[in-house]
Amino acid sequence: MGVSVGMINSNKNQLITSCSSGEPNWSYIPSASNATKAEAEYVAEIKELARRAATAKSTAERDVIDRKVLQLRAGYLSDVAPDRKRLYQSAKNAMSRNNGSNTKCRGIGELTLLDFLEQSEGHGSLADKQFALAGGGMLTCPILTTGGYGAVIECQGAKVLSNTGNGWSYEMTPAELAKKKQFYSIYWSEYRSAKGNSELAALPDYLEERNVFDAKA
Amino acid sequence: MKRKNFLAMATATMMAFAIMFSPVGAATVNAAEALEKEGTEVVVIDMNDVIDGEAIVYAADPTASKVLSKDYATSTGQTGTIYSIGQNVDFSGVIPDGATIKSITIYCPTGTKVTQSKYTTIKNYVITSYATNTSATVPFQQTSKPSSTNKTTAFEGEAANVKFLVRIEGRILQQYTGMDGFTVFGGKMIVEYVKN
Repeated sequence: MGVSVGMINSNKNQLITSCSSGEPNWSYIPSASNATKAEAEYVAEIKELARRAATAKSTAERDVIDRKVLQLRAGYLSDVAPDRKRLYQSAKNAMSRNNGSNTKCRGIGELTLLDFLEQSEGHGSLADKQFALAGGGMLTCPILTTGGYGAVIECQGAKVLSNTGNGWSYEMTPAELAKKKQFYSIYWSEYRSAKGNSELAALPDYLEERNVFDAKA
Repeated sequence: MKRKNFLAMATATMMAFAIMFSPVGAATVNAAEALEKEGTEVVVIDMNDVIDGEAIVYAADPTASKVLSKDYATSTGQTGTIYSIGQNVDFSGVIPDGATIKSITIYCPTGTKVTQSKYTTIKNYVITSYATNTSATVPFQQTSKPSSTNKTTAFEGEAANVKFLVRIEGRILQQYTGMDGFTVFGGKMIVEYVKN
């Protein structure tokens, strides 16, 4: 048992919210959309995953479940999440405009925000600029000690989407944090129940015979 | 039957009291200090000292797993927000599976060596969970008494036995030497968690 604290390794420590192309992986990142499932459906799926996690027999099985939990969480939060997809697209447009005629095609596929950032190097510092985005966000491009620039999109007082060298990550808005709390409350309650650690499960007898408590009262 | 129930209830009550009034125990596990208080566990990662060039070792061999406490950021000829190299802090070997985070406290203890260029400020710690990819920003503060300012509950409910990336965000307001930035020689990260 021990804690390891070490330098980051850019190859081995990429966040799963990044696609190999460099685009954010929207399967795991909450973004505003119309809810495709009813609350009851979400609750049933959360509980199902919690039960499976509680009875998982291997780390690999647990990892698969953990990713499904993240995907489900992204969907569950989508009705209160900021429109991160739109903000990201708007950031790409802003950088494309900033680069002007310097924008080059990559060959295959659409250019990512990171491509635009890379292409803007050598054309003046980006770090002291701010780009206003459609949807009320703001894009800044911090200096990375490892080289080049990162991308930070701020909205509603939070860094709702950022990439500072290790992939895309996101801070949650207060509304998302409140809903995330609900999500995990359902999840861990079911997990404990499946593990046999439920407080209610431990007290079945005296909940049935309430006359004991009535007599005391 | 009633007597059996009464005994069960009495036992449960005694257990509840035992949990509520359990003493604060401390056990040192490598760099981590595990505490238990009222059913809530705490792990303290002490990232003090480290002046003897360990960063150079890590730069040469980034897969090495040792305690590192120095983090730095430098830039040549630019102004604006800057992010440090960053550190990975892995709790998977210390916190049991199924435990969930209540809060994370991070600060720079008083007396820790901090160097910075004349017109450079150190603003925030930015913590990112590798497990969920969620982030939180905590103001950088040198203190001996961490308070709610140094604490975030943004990870509440998420699994606690995971790895975090901790970066320091600063701002170069004006160039001074041409190669500006900061170095922070230590820090303390406390994860408060509950077992499930």
